[in-house]
Amino acid sequence: MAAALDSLGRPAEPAAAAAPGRAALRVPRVPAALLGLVLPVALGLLWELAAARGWIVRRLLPPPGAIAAELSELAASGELLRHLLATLHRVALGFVLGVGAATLLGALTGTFEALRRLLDPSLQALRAIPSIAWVPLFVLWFGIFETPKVLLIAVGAFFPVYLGLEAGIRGVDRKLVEVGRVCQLGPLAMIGRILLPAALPAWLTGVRGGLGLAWMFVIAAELMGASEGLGYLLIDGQMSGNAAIILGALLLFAVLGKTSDALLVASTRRLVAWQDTFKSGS
Amino acid sequence: MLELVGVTKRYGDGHTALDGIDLALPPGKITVVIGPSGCGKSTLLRLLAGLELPTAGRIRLDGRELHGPSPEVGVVFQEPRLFPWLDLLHNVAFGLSRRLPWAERKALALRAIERVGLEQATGRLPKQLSGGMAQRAALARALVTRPPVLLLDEPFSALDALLRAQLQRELLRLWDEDRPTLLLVTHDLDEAVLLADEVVVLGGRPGRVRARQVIDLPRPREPQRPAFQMLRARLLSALPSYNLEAA
Repeated sequence: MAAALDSLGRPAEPAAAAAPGRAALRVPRVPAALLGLVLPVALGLLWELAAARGWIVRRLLPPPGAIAAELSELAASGELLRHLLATLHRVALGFVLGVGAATLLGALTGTFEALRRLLDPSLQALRAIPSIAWVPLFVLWFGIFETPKVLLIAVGAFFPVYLGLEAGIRGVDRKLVEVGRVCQLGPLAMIGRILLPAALPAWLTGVRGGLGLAWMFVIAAELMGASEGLGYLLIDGQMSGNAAIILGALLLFAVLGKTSDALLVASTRRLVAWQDTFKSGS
Repeated sequence: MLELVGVTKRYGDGHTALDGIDLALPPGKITVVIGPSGCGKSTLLRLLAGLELPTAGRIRLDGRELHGPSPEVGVVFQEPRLFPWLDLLHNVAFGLSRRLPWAERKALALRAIERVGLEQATGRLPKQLSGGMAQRAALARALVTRPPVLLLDEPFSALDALLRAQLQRELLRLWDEDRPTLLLVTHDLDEAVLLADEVVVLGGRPGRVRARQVIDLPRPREPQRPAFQMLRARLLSALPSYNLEAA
């Protein structure tokens, strides 16, 4: 609300007034996107050169060309797609479950002080357990197949979302809540029409963190025993002494992680376009 | 009729904001509450809005005791308090019950937006509104339900002098259209004499009613007129002398 007071009564177009300052700070769009590629491409070329000149041991550090060859071989046989889909499926399922549960619980504990006092200490205690430590228990309960893997990923994605939303709701401007009270909103309408929309940016930050952790935990889940997935490829490469497969899997993780994050940001940008913040225009 | 009967407000830390206030807002009239900062005038408005409950005494609306916000009481705060994620239309429609179909809510909101002269900004987000426009939007949101009682907490204090004068005139025009019972809190003496049918002077710590002054000048009022200045001087002398910074 303070922002509205800044341009007191000036009938000027605020968007136009704000534009020059932002333009000065912004690097032109297209070069900015390409700029991020400069470093990996240069390193790749250097790497390829180093391997060709025999500066590095190809068996331990195969050059990008060898990795690409290994990946395309896997792709041609249909293996790669199978592994990719297995991992993507686990991440998606675990992520959705974790985010869903965290959103529900975060909304409740953020809104109702009594529920927060009741639930939050236990949840914080659970958070203190390193998530990998759940593996033996999950395996004991659910066997070694999909369920424990998805659950582990869900646990990983849960906490950033829960913490972000709970803190976001508690940080909602009291003045906006009072408007809701004056407008006779009940508790559910207050959550749905004021608290959640106002906490949406904090929630999205948590969701982004949760997605990153989902990718982290899918490895842990697949390393604990899987017959398919990118984590399986990692183990497979280690067992067969094929560094190209390991590096290929790492590369795919980088690409998938970055792509999913970029998709998340792009698909939610419109939802938070209302924010009046430094660089919200970029 | 909205009235306070023996209302005392004491906060948890022992600070008493208001002490034994008896005040009735005459229906269809403009009552202006004036007083130095810290005299409890905002607390008075928050009690009437149902945002706080009195420690002692009663607040009654048409004989019924109020225990919280009422659909019959609209509030405009010092800050516009618009929802930054909603455009102007949805901000104004926010005050309407969701039981009404959207088409109906939209029509009512557009009407309220027209009344405050913002029809060209209907689709804008709050961050794209100037301070004056945002406060008009807040006024439209309070007016959209056509509440019989309208409370305004220093609504123009953050605006520059020209804009304030303009919005004061518009407020009078809007009030004249459906004549709600209006209570406006201010620390601006000229605003009080310009708008009020009756001025209530709060003062002291804890706040008590120090004086009441009927303003029977015909509208529109001219601040340069001697009668205006005389009433202003009378109010000034009724204000506690230890704190004139606001006058």
